Amino acid sequence: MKVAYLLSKLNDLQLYSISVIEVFSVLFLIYGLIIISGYIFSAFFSIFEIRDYKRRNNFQDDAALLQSANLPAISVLAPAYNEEANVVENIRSLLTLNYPSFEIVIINDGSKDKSLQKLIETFELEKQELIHYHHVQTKKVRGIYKSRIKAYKNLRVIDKENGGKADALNTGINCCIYDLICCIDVDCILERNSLLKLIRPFLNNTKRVIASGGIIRVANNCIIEDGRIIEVRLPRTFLGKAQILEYFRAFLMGRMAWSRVDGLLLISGAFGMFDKQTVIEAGGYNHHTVGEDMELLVRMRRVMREQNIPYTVGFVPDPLCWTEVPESREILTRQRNRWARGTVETLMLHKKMLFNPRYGVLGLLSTPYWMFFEWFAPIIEFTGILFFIILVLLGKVNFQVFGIFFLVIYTFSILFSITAIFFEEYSFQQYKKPKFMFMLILTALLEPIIYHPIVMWAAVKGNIDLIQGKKSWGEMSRAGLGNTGKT
Amino acid sequence: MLIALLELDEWPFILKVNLLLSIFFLILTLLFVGLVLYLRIQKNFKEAHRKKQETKFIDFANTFLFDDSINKSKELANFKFTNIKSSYDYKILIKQVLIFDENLKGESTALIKEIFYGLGLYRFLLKDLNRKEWFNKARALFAFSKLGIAVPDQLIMPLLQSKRVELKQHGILYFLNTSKTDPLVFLDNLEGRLTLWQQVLIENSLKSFEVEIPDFARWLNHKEDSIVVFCIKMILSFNQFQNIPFLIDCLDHTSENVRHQAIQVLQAMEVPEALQLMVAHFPEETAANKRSILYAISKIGTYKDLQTLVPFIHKEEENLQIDFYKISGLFGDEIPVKKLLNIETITKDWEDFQEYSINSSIGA
Repeated sequence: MKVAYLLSKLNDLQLYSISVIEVFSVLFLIYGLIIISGYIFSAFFSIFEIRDYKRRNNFQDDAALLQSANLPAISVLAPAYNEEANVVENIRSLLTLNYPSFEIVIINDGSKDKSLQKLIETFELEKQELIHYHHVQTKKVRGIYKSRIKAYKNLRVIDKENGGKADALNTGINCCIYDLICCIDVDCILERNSLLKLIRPFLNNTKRVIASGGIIRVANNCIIEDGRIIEVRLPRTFLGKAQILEYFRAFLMGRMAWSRVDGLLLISGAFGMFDKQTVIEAGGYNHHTVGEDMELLVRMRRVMREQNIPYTVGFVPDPLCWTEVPESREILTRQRNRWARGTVETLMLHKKMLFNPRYGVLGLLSTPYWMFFEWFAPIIEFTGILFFIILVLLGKVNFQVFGIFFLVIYTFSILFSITAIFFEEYSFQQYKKPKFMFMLILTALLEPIIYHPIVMWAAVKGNIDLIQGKKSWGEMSRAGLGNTGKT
Repeated sequence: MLIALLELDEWPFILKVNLLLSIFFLILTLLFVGLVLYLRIQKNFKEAHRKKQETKFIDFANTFLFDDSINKSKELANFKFTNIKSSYDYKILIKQVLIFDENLKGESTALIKEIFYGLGLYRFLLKDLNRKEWFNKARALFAFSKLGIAVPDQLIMPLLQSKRVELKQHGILYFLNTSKTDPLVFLDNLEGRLTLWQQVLIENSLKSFEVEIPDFARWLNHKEDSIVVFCIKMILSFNQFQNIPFLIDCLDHTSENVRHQAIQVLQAMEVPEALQLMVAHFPEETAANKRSILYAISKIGTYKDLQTLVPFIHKEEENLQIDFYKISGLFGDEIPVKKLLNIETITKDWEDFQEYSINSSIGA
C-alpha cells in the first residue's frame, strides 16, 4: 500500500517536473523569439537611418560653417584622474580641433599623480580668481587655472577634490562659459572636425535639441600620429576584435535605430554634446550611479517630457571619436560589470517611466527594451544555462532538441554580427584592407562561443554586486594609445 | 534525401521549424557575406571608374576652356556620346563642373556653363528636380544654386515651405545665389523656423554676394522670430549702423530670443544710448537676458550703471550675483568685491554688498 502510494507520488513529481520543464522551455523560446524580432526591427530601422544620413550629407559644405562667427561656442569638458602619462599630449590634440569658437576645460579630479604639476609647467598656467557658478553641487574647487600663453587662451584647468567622474563633469559645468557642453574622456581621440559634425543636430533642427551623440570607434592598434588616427587597423587580440563587432552592433544597428524613433537612452560618456541649460535644469550628472552618462540623458528626457517641451536628441553616425577598449579579460569584465550596474541603477531610478504612456516612445519602447534586453537578457541567459545543467544532471535532456535550438541561436548570432559588418561596409568602410573584413567575419563565427559568455557573466556579476551594495567603478587601467600601432 | 537521412518525418513540428530557421539564418548569413564582398568590389570599381571619368573630364574641360582651335560643339557631342553611359557618370560630371565653376572666374565660367548645358547635365538635374524623392530634388537644387543657374520659379517656390529642412535649405540657397537684385526676397514668404544652420549658410552666401546687400531692417517685424533674430545678427555682420534705432525698438519685442539678440548686438555695436532702456527693462527681464544686460554694461556702461541694478538682483538669484561680481571685477578697484568675495556663501555676501551699496548711496 505504502509502496503504491510512494510510486504514485513519484509519478506526480515526475509529471510535475515535466510540466515545469515544458513551461520553462516555452518561456525561454518566447523570450528568444522576442529578442530576435527586436534585433530584426532594429536592423531595419538602422539601415533606413544610415541611408538617410548618407543622403543628407552627400553634398554639404562644412567649410561654410568654419567661417561663421554665428556658430554657438562650445565648452569641451574633459575630466582627468591620474592621467599624468598622456594628459599633455591629449590636450595638445584637443586644442587643434577644427571649430571657430571653443574652450577646453580639463577637470583634474584630485589626481594623486603629477598631472596638475605637469599641466602647469607645460602650458604655463596661472591661478585665476576662484569665482564660478554653482548650478550643481560638487566637491570643493581648489583652483582655476588659465595659461599665460596666448596660443592656449582657450584652455582652462580646474583643480578639485576627488569626487569621481560625474562630480568632475558637474564642476566643469559650473566653471565653463559656453551654453553647449561637449563631455569627453580625456584619453579618447577626436577627429578634427568632430565638433562641427556633432553640433549639426543642434543647428539644423526645428525642435529644441537637448543632446547629441556620436559613434565610438575602437582605436586599439590603429596608427596614431600627433593625436590623430592615420590608419585604421584591427586590434591584435580576439577580445579587441570581438568588441569591434560589438560596437558595430551597438552603434550602427542599436543606436541608429533608436535615433530613428527618437528613443535614444544613452549617449556615450566618451563623447557627447549637451545643452547646458537642460543639463542644469535636470540637476547635472548623478554621482550616486556608475552609469552617469545614461542616467543623465534619461533624466534630461524625463524632465522635458514632464514639462511638455518638444525636444529631440541627435545622433551622428560618422566615426568621430576613437577610444581604447580593454583587451584583457579581467579589465573587460570589470567594465561590463560596471555597465550592467549602471543600467540597472538608471532603470531603477526611473522605474516610473517603464510602460508609462506619458513618456511616449521612452516609456513604451526604450525603457522596456533596456529592461528586458539589456538588464534581464544576461540573467535569463545565465538562468537558462543553469536550467540546462540541471536537466543534464536529471538526464532530461534530449540532445537532438538541444542541438537544434543551439544551432538556431548560433546561426542567428552570426547573422546579426555579419549584418553589422554589412552596415559598416555600407556606411563608412573604415577597415580598408579586405583581410580586416575577413578577420571580422571569422571573429563573428567564434564570438558567440568564446566572447559572449565572458560579457554575460560580467553582467550577471554586476547584478550580484549591485545587490551586495558595491558602488565602485573598479580600476580601469589602460595600455595607452600613445604608441599603439606606431610604425 | 536530407529528410530521409535525418528522419525528419518523425521530428516534432517545433524542431522542424527550428531547423528551417537555422538553414534560413545560415543562407541569410552567406547572403550578407556575399553582399559585403559585393559592396567592397563595387566600391572599388566605382572608385576606379570615378577617377577615370574625372581624369577624362579634366582633360576635356581644359581643352574646351583653353584651346580655341577645336570645334567646341563637336567636342561636346563627342564627349557626351563616348563617356556618359549612366546616371553615375552624370553625377561624377556634375561634381566636376561644380569644382571647375568654383575655381574659375570671368569668361571661363561662361564656358563651364556651356559644358553644363552641352553635356545634358541641365536636363538631367531638371529631371531630378521633378522627381518625388527629396534627395534628388535637394541634389539638383544644390547644383543649380552653386552654379547660379535659374530654373522655373514654380519648381522651387513650394520647396521653401517644405517640411524637410534639407529641401528648404537648398531652396533658400538657390534663391540667394540666382537672384540678381534682391537676394533675400524669399524671406517675405518664408514660413517656419529658420534654423541656425540655414542662417549660417545664408550669411556665408551673402558674404560672397556681388550686388548690394539688402537692408535687414526690412524683416525686423517678420512674424517668425528666428528670421528677426537672423536679421539682427546680419545688421551687425554687415555694419548697418543706420538700423540702430530699429534695434533699440527690438528691446521691446515680445520674444525673449529677439530681445536677447538685440542686447548682444547693441553691445557689440557699442551703442550706449541703448543702455538706458536695457536698465529700465532689467527688473522684468528673464534670467538669461538679465545676464546679457549685465555683460552689456561691462562693455558699454559704467560702474554706476551697474550699481543701479543692485536692488533688482534678488537674494535667490545666485548665478546673477556671480555674474555681477565677475563684472564688478572688470571695473577695477572701484568696488570692494574682492574683499566681500567668498564663493561658499555668496548670498550672504550679496546681502552685505547690498547693504554696503545702500549705505554708500551708490545707486540704490
